[in-house]
Amino acid sequence: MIHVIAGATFRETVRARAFVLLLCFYAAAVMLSRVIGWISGTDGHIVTTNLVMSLQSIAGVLVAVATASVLVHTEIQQKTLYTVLSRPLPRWHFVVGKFLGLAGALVVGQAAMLAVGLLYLWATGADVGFPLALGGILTIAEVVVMAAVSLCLTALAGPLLAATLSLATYALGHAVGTLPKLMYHLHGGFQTYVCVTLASAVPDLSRFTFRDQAAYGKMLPLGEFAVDLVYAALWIALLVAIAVAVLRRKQL
Amino acid sequence: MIRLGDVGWWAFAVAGFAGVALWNGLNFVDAPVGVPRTKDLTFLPKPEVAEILACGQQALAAKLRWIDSFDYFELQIDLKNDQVAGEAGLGYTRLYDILLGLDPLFRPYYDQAALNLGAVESRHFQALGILLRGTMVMPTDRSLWQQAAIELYTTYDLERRHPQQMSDFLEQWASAMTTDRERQSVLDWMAAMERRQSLGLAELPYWQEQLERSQPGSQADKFITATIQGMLATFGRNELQGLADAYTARHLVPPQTLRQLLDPDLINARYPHGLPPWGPVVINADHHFTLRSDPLGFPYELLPGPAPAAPGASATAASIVTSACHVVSRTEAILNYQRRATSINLRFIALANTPPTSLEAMLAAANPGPPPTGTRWAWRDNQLVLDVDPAPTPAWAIRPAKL
Repeated sequence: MIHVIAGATFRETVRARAFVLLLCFYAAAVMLSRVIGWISGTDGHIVTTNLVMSLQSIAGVLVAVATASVLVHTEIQQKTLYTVLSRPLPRWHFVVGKFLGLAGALVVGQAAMLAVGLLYLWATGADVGFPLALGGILTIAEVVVMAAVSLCLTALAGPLLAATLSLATYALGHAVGTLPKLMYHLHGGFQTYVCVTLASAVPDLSRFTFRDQAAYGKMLPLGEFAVDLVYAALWIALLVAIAVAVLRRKQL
Repeated sequence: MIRLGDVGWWAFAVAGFAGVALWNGLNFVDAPVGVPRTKDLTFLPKPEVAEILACGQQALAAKLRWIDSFDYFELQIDLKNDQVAGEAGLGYTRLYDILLGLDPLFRPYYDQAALNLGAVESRHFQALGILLRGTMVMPTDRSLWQQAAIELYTTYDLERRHPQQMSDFLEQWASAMTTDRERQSVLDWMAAMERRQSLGLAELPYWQEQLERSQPGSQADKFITATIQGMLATFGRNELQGLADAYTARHLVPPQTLRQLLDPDLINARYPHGLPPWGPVVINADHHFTLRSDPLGFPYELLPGPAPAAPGASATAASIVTSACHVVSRTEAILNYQRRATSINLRFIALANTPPTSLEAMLAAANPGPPPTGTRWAWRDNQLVLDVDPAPTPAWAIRPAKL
């Protein structure tokens, strides 16, 4: 049954207006990215590459948050949820199916973005190699983690609050990688423990920013790449499990 | 079916859109044509904080910050105070700390830092620090090593003061190179530096390197080109002065014209190993020695009597030795007066509430002195500029042509 729900969610997501509009926004922004390269006073390839790869992350996270935060609420509003739940279906099947469908749509959308971005970079004469593809795949992992964050927060709060908190988590997740460099300000003690505990409870999204080095043709060791993907998978599993735990008991 | 009410709303929407588009378009009507040269860089956080603010887009944030700072670079080429948020000498330090912290692999940051901190602000220790940081991040980058070596050789005179340290540095440079050819180029570079040092042009490769990395037509390009032109003009003048002094010693009377300096015996005695590449004497198509113009295309001139002392210069052992005649280069004079005009313009922009609005008012207020022969003060875009008569021969091509 999970695959049926996942398939339906996948089709529903790729047809959603927010999904399509943000993909169009990405494509338009990529086409304009060369302008920033021109004004940089260099040959513009590195600058354009950075911009294209960052746009994939920004547009992807916006798509993930916009779609995941309304995933369950749309079903409730349209009353389609009750048709599904009236069947002998464990609730976790519903939640996992919904997430898998959404994740599938996001992966397809991200892969399309990556392909468009790399094609554009190649057409403008930039160096397009395997490292960029790895950077793009890690960005896809980042986007799916953010979808899981958004789903988890949707289970705990309304869609608007969940979307806002998701974007805050995105900022925090990237700050987590930098926090160790700032810990000396706390001089040890209680504050340090609080800070470390809170920071450890947020996904470290800086693990997925290899795109910055990839723009210079640097290669990520494949072992490290695999560890990053495992890290993403663990967070996704954890966040979906929390969402299931909350929604199982929730009066819908 | 379209209703009248809908037409009204649509008409309002179309008219409204046209109105705001026109309003936005008006912003571009009075846009300055040239490159703006002021920029407020007061908001420059610490590198760690900048990393957090970048939200995972460090490289992009650094590039945008860098592009947004171009106006500051342009301004500092003339102003040279590196003042941000009321504190002088901090802007570049903070800016490059952020840029290199966020995006350490982008080469243009290092090149620009070397130019802005070293050549423009004369804070060579900071420029050297950034270049050495670059050699650690990109150890196989020949150009970064070369720029650092030039700083050590020309600014710190390390070859003379601590030859062992210079040798150690060159050894490190050679060991970082990946091919035998690159390793050999380190030794070739050292030999070339020694030749240039003996000619007084040790800094030339540094500036050529900077010129190659600057954007044609930018303020940095003009600044570096003028610096190289001045350096070559001084070199040419000194060479001719040397020939004139040798002529006086040989004939016991000073030369009357520069053509008298084209005596093969004099030239052979001064240049036993061949003519220097940027010198004032060249061999023409008929295989005769001939004089070359100075870098802006003006002929060098020979004037009777010793050269007048520079204003404010104190007498030194070298200045006591005077010549019976002196050589002048109009390029040097023009560049000096252009720098004077820039300095006056900046002084009046910074200080005066009501800066002069005409050439006469500016000349009366600033008193820049009479301009050199063949030039005149002019007033353009509310700025004092030096208009120069066309030179009889084309100026030298300072920027090497792309192959």
